Amino acid sequence: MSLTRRDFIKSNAIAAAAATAGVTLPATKTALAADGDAGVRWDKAACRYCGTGCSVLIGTKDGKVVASQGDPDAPVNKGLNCIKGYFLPKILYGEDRLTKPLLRKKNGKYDKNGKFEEVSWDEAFDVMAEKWKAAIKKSWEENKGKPVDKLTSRVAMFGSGQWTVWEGYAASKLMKAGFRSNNIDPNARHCMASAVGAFIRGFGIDEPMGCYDDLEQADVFVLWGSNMAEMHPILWSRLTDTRLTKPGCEVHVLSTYKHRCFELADNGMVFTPQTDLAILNFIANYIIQNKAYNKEFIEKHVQFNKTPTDIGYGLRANDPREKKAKNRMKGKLTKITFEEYAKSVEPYTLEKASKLSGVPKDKLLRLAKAYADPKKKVMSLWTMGFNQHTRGVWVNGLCYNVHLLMGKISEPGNSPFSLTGQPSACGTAREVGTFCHRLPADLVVKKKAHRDIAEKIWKLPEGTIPGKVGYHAVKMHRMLKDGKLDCYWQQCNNNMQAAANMNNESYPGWRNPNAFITVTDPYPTVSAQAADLILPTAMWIEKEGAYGNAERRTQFWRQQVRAPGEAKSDLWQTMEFAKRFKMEEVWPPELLDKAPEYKGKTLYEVLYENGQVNKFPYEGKITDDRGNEYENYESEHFGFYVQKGLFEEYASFGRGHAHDLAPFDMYHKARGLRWPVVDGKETLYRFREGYDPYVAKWNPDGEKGDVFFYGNKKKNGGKANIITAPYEPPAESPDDEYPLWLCTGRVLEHWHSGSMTRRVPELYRAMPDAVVYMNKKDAKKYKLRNGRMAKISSRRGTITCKVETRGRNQPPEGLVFIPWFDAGRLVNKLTLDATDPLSKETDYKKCAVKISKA
Amino acid sequence: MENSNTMNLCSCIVHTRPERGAEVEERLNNIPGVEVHGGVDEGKLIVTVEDSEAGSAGDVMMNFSSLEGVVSATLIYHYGGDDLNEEVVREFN
Repeated sequence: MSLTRRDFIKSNAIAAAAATAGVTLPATKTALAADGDAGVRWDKAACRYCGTGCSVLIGTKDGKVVASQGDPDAPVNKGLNCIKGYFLPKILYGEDRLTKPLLRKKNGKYDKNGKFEEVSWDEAFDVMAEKWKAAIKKSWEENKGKPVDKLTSRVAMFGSGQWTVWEGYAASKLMKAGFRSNNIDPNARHCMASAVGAFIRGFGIDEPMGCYDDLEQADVFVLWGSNMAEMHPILWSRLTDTRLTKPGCEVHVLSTYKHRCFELADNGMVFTPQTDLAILNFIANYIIQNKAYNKEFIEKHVQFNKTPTDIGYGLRANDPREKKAKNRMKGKLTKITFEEYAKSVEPYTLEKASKLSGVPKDKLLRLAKAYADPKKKVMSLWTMGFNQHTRGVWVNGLCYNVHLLMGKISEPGNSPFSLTGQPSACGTAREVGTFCHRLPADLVVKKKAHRDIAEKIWKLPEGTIPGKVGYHAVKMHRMLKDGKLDCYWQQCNNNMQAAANMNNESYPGWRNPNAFITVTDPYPTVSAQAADLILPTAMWIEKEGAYGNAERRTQFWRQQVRAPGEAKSDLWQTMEFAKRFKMEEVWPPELLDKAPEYKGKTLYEVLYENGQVNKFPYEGKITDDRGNEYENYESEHFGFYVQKGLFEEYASFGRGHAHDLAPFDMYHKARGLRWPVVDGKETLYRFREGYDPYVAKWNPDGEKGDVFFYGNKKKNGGKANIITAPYEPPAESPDDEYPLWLCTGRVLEHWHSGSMTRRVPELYRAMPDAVVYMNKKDAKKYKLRNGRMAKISSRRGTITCKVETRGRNQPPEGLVFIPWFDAGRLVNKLTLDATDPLSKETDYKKCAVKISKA
Repeated sequence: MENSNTMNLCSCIVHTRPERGAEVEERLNNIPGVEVHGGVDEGKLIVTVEDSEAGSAGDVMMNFSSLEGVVSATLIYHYGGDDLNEEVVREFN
């Protein structure tokens, strides 16, 4: 019998599908599967895209990825993957993959107005280091005589929730300790900052208390500004299963336009933008008026507070809206009584909430009753609808208020759950703390005691880390434009496409003649094309990596294949760049005098050859439990097990402080573990005795199974904060001249700015260009036709898109939706850079536009 | 992974209401490169898709969810190599 590889592969493919579906097939169908798939090496990896954190199996042969499969052993996705996931390996092989550094040059020299030319890594780093050294020198002059908590810097890095854990950690260390600049911020600022703000204000510690297990445990699901069906399809399929199989289960969906989740909704609600604030206050009021609240829980575990109101919109200080704000950017909490809290939500009657939001009363009532029923377990889920909101921290908090009033928290099925957009928004951006105000494990630069901890772990003299909060994402662009920031290095994201108000802030900032912009990317994105230096990078499984997903699950993968050409990982670039600096060039003499042993050394030696990061030897290869062998380019190059050393040093920040990560090697064996991992055991529900070992440790006299919000143990004895906040209008609303709301977001086929998914032919063909989704009546009103081009303008710019009135998204009259994945139709020319004054996260969901025939 | 000799072979699960499994099976079997292997009674059809004159396996699959009677389609396994027609010598023990 002659057999081809096809016979074996097919048999495997059938067997994998049948096993996942739980279908039994005749043995002949799968007979060859047991023989393996002929020379293919299989290993696990976390998916490159969203915050769900699915695991995929990657099949490699002769140094190339040839096959992929949903990981049947993964608790997150149980063998399934969404369509993006299945074409995942193709993102490595786009035709225009960058393989050499590119520098803008004229007459053989760097020139801001020159054309991109291929250069060596040496030339690239020489030019870049010269620029950075000049900027650092200028910062020294500006900082003369200033104390450590007043220091500023002219160099900045813009990082990513797609960085691996160690890439974020190495970068944060380079900036905060090495260059003494807190100007490092991740694109997670655009995505998760409001969620973080609310966790810290409410619970004193970041990230969700519950986990994905709640998707099977809850009786009621409420989606607040989240299109899970398209953005988190695997979690949506788990939720759908529960809805269809559990008696009495119901799904409520709230959004400013109808989307695919409404197909499953028992109670679908389209509300006027920004009125989620009013709806949530109505629910709280309903619970109080009907005395449905959990009296015992709130007496024991909740403190009531109010927050300053009329806080502005995070625009530039000279904007009239900012001048008018009474308490611009303020957020200090004041303790109030339960009665005062009850009075603050009293105005939010059913009538008022319905009138403001446009949602019929019976629907709002049904929603309120679901929360108020003590017998129903409720999981609230939200993403960018809550976070990209000029009152994002408030609205996240208002949702916690409702859960806390009912005591529906920190137990299976009762779960306020903030979903993330990026694969390591939690694991890297938040946990490593790559924000301009943070350090690892929830430490912050503002507090000297926290800086002391970081300086001790990093073996730095006291006073190395600046105490002034650096520039956040939006401010970086403003500072570039204003000439206060000279060097900007963007890694692992596409901020020229992602940031709001591109025409007036981002682009003029990057092209400011004073600025030197470096972009590290695998592809020539909109950002890369707007840069001065492009550095080609290794992506995803071309390096050893770790991501942390939305349910606190940390997952590792090994390097599977080599990066093409001269592309080198972000980690390699960060560490190698540090070699270009002598300590005398980055630290002033008075600081270096405190650590004379560092004189004459390079920044690389001080940060990464400190006896900790370079502690673990590299044996020349990585071997897994099954005897398979893998390369590790960074370890080969630097001469030690780089990823392990960085991880173990980083993990020492959180161990013993309720941020515990497991030992490095354990993650290579497990399908991820949810922190805190104590004595090898992961934690499913934080703050509840019996689940979370820290409750017994820090509240030894507590009752069995009771909660203790230990993040606030020093502040208020371990209570969660209910924080009242009113409805306030958005920064820009439709008017006579710009009569429509613009909401931006994603679509199923494309992830984020499309830099990877648009290079997968199948995904590109399925959704090639961004369209403007709008209501039929509006189309008629503005003389537009389905499938024809339309011109959309705001006060800041104009773009052209095809009209879609019959698509998957069905906006109400008065609102249009445009996805942002399309580099050919940059919707951020239209958006306003208004941010939540507390979280500094941009509101991409609300601005005013007009539309006409193109 | 992506070159002119690359041949794609995928498997997926196509969900239908159980009573419509048979009609969807027929619909799928009529598409070149598509083969249903079982799961018809359960409403979880086990399907393989290969590149054909009708289009690449990926494109064919992306259209499954718009076929009448299909509730959802999930890809499970994907192989894309240039060696599918190579003979494999199998060792029988």
